[in-house]
Amino acid sequence: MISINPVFADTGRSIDLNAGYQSYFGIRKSRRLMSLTGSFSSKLWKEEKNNSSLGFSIKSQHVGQFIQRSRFHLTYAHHLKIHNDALLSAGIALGAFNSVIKDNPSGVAGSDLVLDGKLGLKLKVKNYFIAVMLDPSFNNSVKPARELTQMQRQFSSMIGAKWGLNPDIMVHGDIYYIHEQDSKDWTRINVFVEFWKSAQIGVGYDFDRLTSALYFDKVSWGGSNKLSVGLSYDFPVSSKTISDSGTYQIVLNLEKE
Amino acid sequence: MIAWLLHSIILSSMGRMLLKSIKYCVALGFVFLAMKGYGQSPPWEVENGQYSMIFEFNGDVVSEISATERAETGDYIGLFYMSPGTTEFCIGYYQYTEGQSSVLTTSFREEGLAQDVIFKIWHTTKACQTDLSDYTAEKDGATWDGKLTLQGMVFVIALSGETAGYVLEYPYTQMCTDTIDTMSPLEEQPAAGVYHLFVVSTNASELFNVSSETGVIELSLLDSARYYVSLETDICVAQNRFDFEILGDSVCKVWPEPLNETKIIAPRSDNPEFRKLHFSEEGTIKVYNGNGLLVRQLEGPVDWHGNDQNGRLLPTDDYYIQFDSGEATTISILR
Repeated sequence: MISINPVFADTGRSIDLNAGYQSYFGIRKSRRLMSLTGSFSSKLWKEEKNNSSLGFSIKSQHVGQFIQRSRFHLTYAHHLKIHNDALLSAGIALGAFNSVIKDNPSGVAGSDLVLDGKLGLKLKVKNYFIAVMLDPSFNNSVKPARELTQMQRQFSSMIGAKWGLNPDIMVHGDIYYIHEQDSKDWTRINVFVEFWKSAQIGVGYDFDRLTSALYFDKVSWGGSNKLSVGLSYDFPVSSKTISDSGTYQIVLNLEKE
Repeated sequence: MIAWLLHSIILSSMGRMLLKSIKYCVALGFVFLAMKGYGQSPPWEVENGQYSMIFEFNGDVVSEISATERAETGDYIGLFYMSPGTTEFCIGYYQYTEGQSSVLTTSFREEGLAQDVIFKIWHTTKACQTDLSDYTAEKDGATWDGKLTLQGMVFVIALSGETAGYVLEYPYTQMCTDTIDTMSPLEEQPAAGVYHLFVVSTNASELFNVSSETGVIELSLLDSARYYVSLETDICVAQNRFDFEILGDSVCKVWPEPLNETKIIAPRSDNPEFRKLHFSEEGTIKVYNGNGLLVRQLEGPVDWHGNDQNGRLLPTDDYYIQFDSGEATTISILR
């Protein structure tokens, strides 16, 4: 369950809603991730001061037959113009994380509910940005037996840029570096091309995770109120991964300018 | 000396009376053991002459070990000795059969100190045994003297020179006095009527059957093929969940085997069946985590306890197993 930096709840759009579904291909009873995220710009209620946004994030992950994890956050991001071309943003997310081991024949079952949260910072200068996120997840009270840490205590940094080839075509690129507690660090690079602000096609590659992704990130309809559909497929590129199985993700996005 | 003590106990009038008095308890023990499937090997293993020991450390089950097959007329008693103050535990079994005896020993190492270790032992005939008196055991040339006594419903092992006792719980007595677990929410009540439960072993021989006329049998439907079974008599209460199929209006057949088909490794489970997973497949077996990363490679056939390549127990999650044949499956590690 990749954590989303709360600072990305930006003010570019009044309303931004995303619904996602992710699942493994080819593996019976594989994990499924459902997510619903949204952000609302302050220009909805303060037209003269468009410098903050509120958001939410709900994620539910079904891992096989017996494990279910849910995460809920309320997010707040504040954006401060520090120069004509520079914007500094800070975000915070607070919520709860619940992990359930369902009733099963082994008799080992139960649930844990813990406070959860994360902090993010982003600096954007012209067409370049750098963002970092600390996802400490306030879970010190969690029973070690539940081993929730796999989804938590994450630090990520992201550097991105975009270049306009012409008025209709933009090239975006970003690099993620993610450190997760009790897991191997990994890096992901994405490059995608945006056409006419309504379609995106891209590729990504996970170093150390040995998967690659091909995605049609966005196909949009509408003018100021746009509905977009995205599809991505992560396929393995190494014998160290499950050879015939990948992950797919479908995203529905609703934007209101 | 131990053999002599065993003989004395068994052959004495007190011993005979005691054994008589526990017959019913033991017989019921098998039934409830099977019904409950709690914390130990399944009953057919006991009937086939094996028994096992469960080790709990700081409240967690850390290991389970099985003795060799029991001779028909043999008696068993467990010997336990450990190195006080260290992290090494040594376990021995004493096998006594028709005047001949042998000691089977093994040792293993666990993290932490020895003070909180609880041993649970399966025993086929000694559930209500009383004083087991002194014993002596050897390991690596060193001799340990100890005393094993019955205090209430538990056996206490005290090593010479040590004041701390070690608790040995007998599941039979525990089962006859406990109400275990809680029932899952009733989703659908099976039709009313007299139910007969048959527990059938893996070789299809019938182990026992219970009629609801001799006790209260409650069945709670969990899903289309899985029920929660509760059996209550004047003496004992036992519950467990089994997969079984309904044969006709009033006959249920309990099949314990499907539990083994559920691919779970649960180190904290009271049922040793779930503390490891046996792969019978030949060749390389690869275990991947949820990110698709290889975390363990095994050579089958093999038992796997849910550890990664470095021996660390993997966290609660689903893992994907790929066999040489190209087939893949999913298992859950529940901690």
